[in-house]
Amino acid sequence: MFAWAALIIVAGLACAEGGVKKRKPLPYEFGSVVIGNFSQSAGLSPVIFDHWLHRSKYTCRVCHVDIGFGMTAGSTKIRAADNRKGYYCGACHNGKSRFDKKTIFEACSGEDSKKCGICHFTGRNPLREQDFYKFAEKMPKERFGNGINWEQAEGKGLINPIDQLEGISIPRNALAVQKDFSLPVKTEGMPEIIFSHKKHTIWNGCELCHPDIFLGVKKGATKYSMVELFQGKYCGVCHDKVAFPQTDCQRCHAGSLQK
Amino acid sequence: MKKGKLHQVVYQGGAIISAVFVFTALSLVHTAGTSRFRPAGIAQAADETWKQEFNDVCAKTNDSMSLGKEELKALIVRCEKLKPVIEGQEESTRKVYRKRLEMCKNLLVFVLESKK
Repeated sequence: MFAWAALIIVAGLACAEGGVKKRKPLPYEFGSVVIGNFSQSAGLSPVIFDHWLHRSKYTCRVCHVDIGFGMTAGSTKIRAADNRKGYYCGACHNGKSRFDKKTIFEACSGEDSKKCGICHFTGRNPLREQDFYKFAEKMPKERFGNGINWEQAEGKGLINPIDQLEGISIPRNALAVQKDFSLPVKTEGMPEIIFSHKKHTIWNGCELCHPDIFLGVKKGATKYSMVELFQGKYCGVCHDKVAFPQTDCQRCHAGSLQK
Repeated sequence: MKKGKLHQVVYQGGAIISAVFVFTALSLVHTAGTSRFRPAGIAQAADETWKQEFNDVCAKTNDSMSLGKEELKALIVRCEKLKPVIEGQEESTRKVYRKRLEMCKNLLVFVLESKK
């Protein structure tokens, strides 16, 4: 009991560090990223990127390894010219690629300025919200984040995220998955963390996490605290932002593996 | 006599034209890496060569845990050789492949370190 209370306090302190309480995102907003390095200078609104829509179709690895999107908002510095050459958004949004028998619209073609508003739009979009709720109602539920249990959705085959893009991804051998392991915790009474390589590599492969996020080469070599995690480091690079929030304690602190 | 001379002139002219043609072709091939007039076919072939090398090296990331130290070292050397080639590409290509190569090489170095 004390351990859980301590964790909640740490989470609260970490969140309060900035001094301003953040508004909790609505389910369809969870994981959205504002991209606007060059939009304003081009007289356009920034882009609101919906993670939920893209992760329902593609693995994280395809976009963050094969296409080369950075892991923090604005770090990639995407230009319209990059998209037009078939990089970044233009890798799929090229007016030729198809998904679910539909042609994916072309990004930044410059031919029809009305089309810019499909991505460059920061206002409320009831159609997008409607699309989210329509998709979410068929998915397994979870308490936090956008209310979708993505792990179960993938496991049950409700979504089949694509992990290879023709002409972009390198054909690779199937990944030999490393064993799950448990990580000891510092607080007495707190269940150990069970880390599943399998659950993570389905979405991420290897190079998304190693060595950029987890540098240590031996189990337990990377030392981190919950405060750092809530600051967006280590697990916090994805969890809280796109993957389920770290306030869903039991999802990680699930006990210990039999030794 | 006059007919024989004409034949000789035509023959010599043909030889000169052929020599000029061969010389021009060789010059274009020689300067393919830098000339703005390089033939599209040569540029495309060079482009495909480094991309193929990139694909060959970075396709191994999924197998990296089962590779030996020497194999990993050899792949890292190949990554290092690719770096200047990628740095010489136009901005968009450079930005994308620089990051992709970095992730690929860093993983190979990481796995090599784990084996020490």
